[in-house]
Amino acid sequence: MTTYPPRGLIGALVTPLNDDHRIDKPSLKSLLEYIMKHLQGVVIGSGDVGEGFLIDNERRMELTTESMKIADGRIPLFLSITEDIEDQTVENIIYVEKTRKKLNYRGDIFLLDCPLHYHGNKGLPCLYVEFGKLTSLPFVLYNNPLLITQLQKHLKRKNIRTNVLKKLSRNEQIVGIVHVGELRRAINYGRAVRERRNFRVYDGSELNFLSRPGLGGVVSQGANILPAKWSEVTESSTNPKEALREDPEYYPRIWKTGHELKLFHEAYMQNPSAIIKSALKLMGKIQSSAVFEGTLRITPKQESMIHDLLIEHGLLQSPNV
Amino acid sequence: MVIKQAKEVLRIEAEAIQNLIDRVDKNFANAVDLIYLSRGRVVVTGVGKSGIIGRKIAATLTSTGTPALFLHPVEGMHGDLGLVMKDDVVLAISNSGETEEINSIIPIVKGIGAGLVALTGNPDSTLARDSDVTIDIGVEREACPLGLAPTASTTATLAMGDAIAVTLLDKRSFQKADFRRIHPGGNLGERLMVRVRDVMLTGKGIPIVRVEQPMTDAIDEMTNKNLGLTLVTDSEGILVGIITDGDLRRLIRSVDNILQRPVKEVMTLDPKTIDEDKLAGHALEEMEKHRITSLAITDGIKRIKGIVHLHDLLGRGEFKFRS
Repeated sequence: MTTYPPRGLIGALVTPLNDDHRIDKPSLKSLLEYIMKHLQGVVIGSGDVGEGFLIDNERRMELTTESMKIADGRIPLFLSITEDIEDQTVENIIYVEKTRKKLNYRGDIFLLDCPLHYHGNKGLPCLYVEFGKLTSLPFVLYNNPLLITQLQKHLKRKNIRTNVLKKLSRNEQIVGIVHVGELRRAINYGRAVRERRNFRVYDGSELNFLSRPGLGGVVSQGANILPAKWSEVTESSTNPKEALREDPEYYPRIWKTGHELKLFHEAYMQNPSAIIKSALKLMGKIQSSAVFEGTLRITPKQESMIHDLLIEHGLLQSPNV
Repeated sequence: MVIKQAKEVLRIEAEAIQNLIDRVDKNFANAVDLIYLSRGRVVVTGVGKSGIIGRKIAATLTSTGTPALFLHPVEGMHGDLGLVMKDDVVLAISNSGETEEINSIIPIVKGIGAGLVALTGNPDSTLARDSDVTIDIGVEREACPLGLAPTASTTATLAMGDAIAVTLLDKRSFQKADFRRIHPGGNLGERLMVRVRDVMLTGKGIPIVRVEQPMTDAIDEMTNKNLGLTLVTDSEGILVGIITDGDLRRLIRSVDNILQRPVKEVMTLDPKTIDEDKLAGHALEEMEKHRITSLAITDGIKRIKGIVHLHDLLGRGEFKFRS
């Protein structure tokens, strides 16, 4: 039976590193424990904030194994498998399968793949048929045209084409898509997969979700810093409770929280991985704000900005107090 | 910016309705059949914005020939559920399908024996599981930020309500004359949703003569009670016949000494009756079917309990039978 991904808040986890750029396992545990209870799922090694496209093979395997050990089936894991080339992506699929069996892992795992990073639109449906021979795990697609552009891939297409998605959705093993980008495309994707009632279309763009919430849910980077507040807004947007609306404080509170999330979004989107890691270090959730080679380092101005923002919103105590 | 946003909102709402087209399946047909075949009314229920949409759906159903009313579930829990009868169909609206106020009245509705149709965006919900039929009104995206107000989902619900009402209208072969019947003052639909017992004349208002009385007594009774008829009972008060103005006009030339004859020689046997628990709308249908203007209400052994006249249902001068 196909396992469908959960609706709601999916946190895209940063990948904590030591200062010597190894996976920081205690910080990974600390961060996962901090955010897990507020989420319906967590992305490990995502292409954007998780710096997934910069992780070498050894550290990706370490990250995958460690995440499975810490999560221990308590939360659905979206494990990013995408590499620069198809063969390495295949290796990741095989590795997840082996590790799952080795650990006798019982929790839900979804393989998150950004196919346009290593493959064109043409032939994608066949590719996933081949992938399906390697694993019984379900796939969630990741469509991020900005990322593909940043990586200077000279591909004809930056987006999975809508009619290709329609064909892909006929493969029962593909159960969802995370779309970062234009709202109009998200609506078209929703139309393309309409026949699959449980096919999940996640908003990978936080601003899209905060303005026109997709009821599949959101894949959030900001949830690393503000998991409870992201959870409240996601719940309010995807599963509104009429009873809550009776509370006169409800609307002002949700409005204020939404505004706060937008402020943070505006701040960390200047340099997501580095700024979020810096915030988490200041909050004591991870040990180091080190980023992978290839990710922009945080500037002193950005460091000061996130520091002040954390203090302003009560996430960090002012040195004057 | 404003124009772009407005277009975005409309695109999302249009998409929500477009999506519904694929969701119309045998469940929809089953829900329509359940309502069509029921002998009662549609009782629409919902809270918050769903409640507002529910009121509009009830009004649309009523305007198109399906007697319906809105019940607030909280009022329902405080006594108003008494208006739900076993022949009714309850149409419960909840996007999540987990609205506490709605789900708390489900067992009572089921206990009464009324049918239950769920309009929900969550086919796996408590409401969907407990309903006889579920119509999926799920949407992919809301147009309002932060879930501050349901937008696309309420639009979808409203559209699905219209689909139900219009389908029923077609199924009932609703005619122009029916609109005349339901729309003259705007509140006639409501008037037809009450029970016969609530509008019938009782006690001394009922024109009654006994079989052995002379026709002069019958004419006096018809004149005094002003319904254009009198019911006729036997010596034990059992309904056996009726005399109407029309009978008199037809018989006055053909029967000699009609005024001296006893009522039993002139009356029409076995007058039409209706149960006091029936809806006023049903009484109207019966009158139209038999082309009569009154119906007697009797108990199990045909003792007269009341009489209902077209005027009691519609008001004077507002009704003409379909030609």
